[in-house]
Amino acid sequence: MKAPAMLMVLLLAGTTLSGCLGEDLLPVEDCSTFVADTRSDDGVLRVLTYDIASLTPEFLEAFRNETGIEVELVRTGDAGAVLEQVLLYDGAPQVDLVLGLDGSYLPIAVARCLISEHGVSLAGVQTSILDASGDIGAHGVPFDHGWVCLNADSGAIDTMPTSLWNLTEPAYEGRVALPSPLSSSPGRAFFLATLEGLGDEAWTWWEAMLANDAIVTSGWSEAYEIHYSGGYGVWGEGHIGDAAVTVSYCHSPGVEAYYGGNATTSVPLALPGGVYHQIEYGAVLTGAANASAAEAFLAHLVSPEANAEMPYQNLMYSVLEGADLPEEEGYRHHSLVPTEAASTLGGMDVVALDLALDALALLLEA
Amino acid sequence: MQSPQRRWADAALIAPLAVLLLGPLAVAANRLWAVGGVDPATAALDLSPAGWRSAWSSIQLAFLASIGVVLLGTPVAFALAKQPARRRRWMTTAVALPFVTPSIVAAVAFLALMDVSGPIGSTLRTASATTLLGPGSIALLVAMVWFNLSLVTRMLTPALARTDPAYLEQLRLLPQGNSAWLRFRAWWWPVLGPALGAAAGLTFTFAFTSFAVVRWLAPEATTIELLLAEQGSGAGIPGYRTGLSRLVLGTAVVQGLALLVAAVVVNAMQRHHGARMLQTTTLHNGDAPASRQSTALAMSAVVFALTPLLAVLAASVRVRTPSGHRFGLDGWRRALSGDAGGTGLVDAFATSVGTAVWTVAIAMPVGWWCASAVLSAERADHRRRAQAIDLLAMAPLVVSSAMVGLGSLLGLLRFAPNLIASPVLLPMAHATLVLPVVVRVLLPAMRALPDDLEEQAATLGLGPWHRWSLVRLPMLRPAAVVAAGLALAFSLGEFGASWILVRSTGSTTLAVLVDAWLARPGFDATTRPAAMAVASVLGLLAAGVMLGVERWRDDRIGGGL
Amino acid sequence: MPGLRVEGLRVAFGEMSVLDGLDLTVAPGERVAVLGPSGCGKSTLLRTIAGLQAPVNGLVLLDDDDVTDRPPEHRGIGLLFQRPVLYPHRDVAGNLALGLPRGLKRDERKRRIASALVEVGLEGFEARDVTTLSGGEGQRVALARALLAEPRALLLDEPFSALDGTLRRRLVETTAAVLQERSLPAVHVTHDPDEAEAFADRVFHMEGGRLTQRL
Repeated sequence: MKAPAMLMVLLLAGTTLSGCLGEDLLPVEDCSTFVADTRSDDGVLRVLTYDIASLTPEFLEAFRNETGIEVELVRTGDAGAVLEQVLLYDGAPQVDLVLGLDGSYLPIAVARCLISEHGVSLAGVQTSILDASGDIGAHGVPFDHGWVCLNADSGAIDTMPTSLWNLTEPAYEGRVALPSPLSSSPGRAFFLATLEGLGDEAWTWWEAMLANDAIVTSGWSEAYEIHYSGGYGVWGEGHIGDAAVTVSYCHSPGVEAYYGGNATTSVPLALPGGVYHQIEYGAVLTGAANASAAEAFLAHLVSPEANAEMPYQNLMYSVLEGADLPEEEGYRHHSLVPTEAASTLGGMDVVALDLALDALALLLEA
Repeated sequence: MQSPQRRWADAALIAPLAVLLLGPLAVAANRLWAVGGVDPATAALDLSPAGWRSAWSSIQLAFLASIGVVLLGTPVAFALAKQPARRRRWMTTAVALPFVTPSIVAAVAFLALMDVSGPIGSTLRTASATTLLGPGSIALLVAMVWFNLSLVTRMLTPALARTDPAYLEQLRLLPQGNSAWLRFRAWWWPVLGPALGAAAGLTFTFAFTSFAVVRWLAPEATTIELLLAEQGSGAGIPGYRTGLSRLVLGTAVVQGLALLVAAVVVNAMQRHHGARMLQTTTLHNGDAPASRQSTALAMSAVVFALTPLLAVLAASVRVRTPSGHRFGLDGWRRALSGDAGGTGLVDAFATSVGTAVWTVAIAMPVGWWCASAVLSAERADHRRRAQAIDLLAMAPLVVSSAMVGLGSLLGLLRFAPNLIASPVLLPMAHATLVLPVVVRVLLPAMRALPDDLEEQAATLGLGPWHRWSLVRLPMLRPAAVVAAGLALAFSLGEFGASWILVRSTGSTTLAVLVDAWLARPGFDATTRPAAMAVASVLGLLAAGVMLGVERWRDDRIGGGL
Repeated sequence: MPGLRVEGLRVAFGEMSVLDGLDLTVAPGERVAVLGPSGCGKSTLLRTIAGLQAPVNGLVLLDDDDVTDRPPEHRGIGLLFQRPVLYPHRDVAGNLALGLPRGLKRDERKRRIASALVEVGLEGFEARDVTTLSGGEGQRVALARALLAEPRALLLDEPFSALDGTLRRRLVETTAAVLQERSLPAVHVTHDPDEAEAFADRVFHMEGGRLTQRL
């Protein structure tokens, strides 16, 4: 019996001693002094992304034919995982380009000097998007966008809510499914929208929602597929269907209709303080081995042929001027373009965002 | 006394092994400590409510699963033991098939099973075993029992089948054995107790650290392993979500302690078990025909073991339509082409097989060396050293695949970021995880070899290399084949560590690919069958390896694996 | 009538008849041997008397008590197997303890075990590991254990056949002497005529499922 004790002592001792060897790990303040660790260029462009569906083999093939550059995709789980990977690289990136960080994630990487400014022409991109991007536009190339808002099941609700506060009433007790802002990208977007839209009352609203038995799930798919009664999840496969309202995109009902034969009971709800304009960016990492190839890739991504595929492959809007959702199968008909929305960091900076998320974590745990 | 060369050779093994196994963990712990600002002990004691919930969930799941396996497995083991020899062999193999099934395939199998069984399935998906584990936890527990049932049958059935009935007959004629309860106390409990204890301990470990099955069957449950895998990569980043770093560190320590306790218990039980049962078995084969009830129970166990796997195949050709379901190969087509940005089935297949082969190439020699080192230390009566090496080889069992994955991620990135995209990373992680299995299978076989075998060979004039290759190796070949087969199957199906590490590379394994397909938004009805198609391929591969290896297995190969 | 009595015992395995209307009477303290080649059913006879095998027909009576339908646990008959059935997870004392009735105090248990060991010539063997015992020692432990159970009859299924010459003879004599003291009816099956003569008062032949007395 001595051996297990020995092993434990070894483990503890190891960690105790090594704790003293930790260097200063805090982020750099001034980006001009940031030193990146560039690895050698082997001619292959490495792209870090989550499961972005529009990077089809045809797309990559077309890119290779046009530029002669080989592309290697490194896929992680979701936007949050992409950010974490970039932060872990910490200036010694093993990839050149990162795709899929939206306006609430990219600034964090930019603040740590991990993203370099790009030189890609954004001529064809809608001006409203460029305006919404603000300072981030110098670092990120927008390639698709959409609006995160609430979805409601018209078959389960008689009168649609007109304000976020309706959802805290008894009629919606236990009937709202919210993906956790800590682990879900749409959830986080919605959270930012409430912070900007409801101001000081935002925390009161979240507390009231939790008191009203809101269902908090770890990811979007759990909320949408299992709890939401208005989506494709109703077709068996573990569906519970106890939520009449959930967080998704304002064009999700359109996607439902598109795949469901132009029929759906899901309706977008653009409530004040509950809409976030999510713009997804591609960005070149500081210290990338193949920065020029990365920029060529981004230019290709916002070219008319490639970007027009966004609604089909990626289920998001194209960023180009004059683009809209297709009309087939009621895709456009069932979707909604909101008039007002929160965007990027909801008026905060990255430090405040981190604090807000920590505060929310405490609230959710209680 | 061991020769000095032997001791130096052992030291040459132990030191790098310890560094390899414990190094990344120590570095990762250090990083989490530095970022979170809290030492491991405090992080564990001062766990946040979310941390405690995850710890409790893990404990509940593991505890219930162990009890379930023992309660269900014991009658099945008995029923199997009563079958005639040939039937018993293939039935035992069938019941053991779930054990080598990759965890993600198991998760998908139960999803598929519940999909096709209509209302029963839906109720199972929403029923909760406990409030903490949430909806789907009954299905989860059934899956856990399904997975680990063979731990009991493999340990008990061979011994039960060959136990001389005279032991029980004699006992019936004695005053201390003239009732079922007395016979239980005098015979069954002392003989079976340790084996069941070991099986329960191993089930506890596997259930505690299960990832894929919990993730997909009980989405509201958050166990420690889930927390580490799904949120762990956000930890260890300075100035970013420092609370998470503390949470990851604390829960990892709690998990490590729980698993250490389980490992110590299993170790004690297996020493107990191996020594005793081995001595009571003779080459007696039961000649009384099996009763109808035993055969029925044994057959039910076989059906229970095989049905979920068949359900995966069925679900891979079942496509959802707005009005119901139809038969179609769309899922297979999508899986093969890997369209819309995903990896194709064939590429993932190549990655999985390549990784698995490398894993075996690394784990087998290291495992063999470890087992030999333990044995020679035991024979030279250096018991403590033997125990130390044994425990070291078992360390990965104490450390869970998510911890290995996270350890590699946080530990290696610090020193060698370019290693993260290296093709050798995944086999190394797999070899680490698979090492205990190899040692566990080889060691009993080595122990069972008579010592004088090699001495005899020496007197015949055979030098050390020939003694090893002409005597020792052929005699250990069955055990080696089984160990290699298990290592191969487990590497093919490895999910936790792969899930974490593969995210940084450009390729993916079959197991992670299944998860990727499942995680796609299900608007498109062909994503689910595509996931099932990949799972079918993976499941068939693992089953194929196991059945291929089965020829070599005989009752002498113990360890319950 | 005291002692062991078997009347018209008929045992069959499927179509094959092994014991065919067998009769046997053994008085208390009398030792009887049954001779016959292997496979003729000697063991079956003992197993049936002990209750491990159910007869098609016939009676087994102990001291006029009809035990034919009783399970072996409640017949009070001891049986020694061909090889000593000792439980490896218990030491010698532990094995002997299995022969003791329930509810004895610890001191009484130790006393009885010690005297039983003396009786079979294994004094001081209490703490020995049963797997280290020789064949002869093992059978002596088995015998001591069977006797501790205070049976009403003792059956012996060639317990000495695995031992060699001198040892066997010594053991046969010891067993006979021990049984003599207790006036138990005993049935010993063997294939060795000398052993049968040395042990028993009466010797029978088993043929065609029945017994014929040897003269």
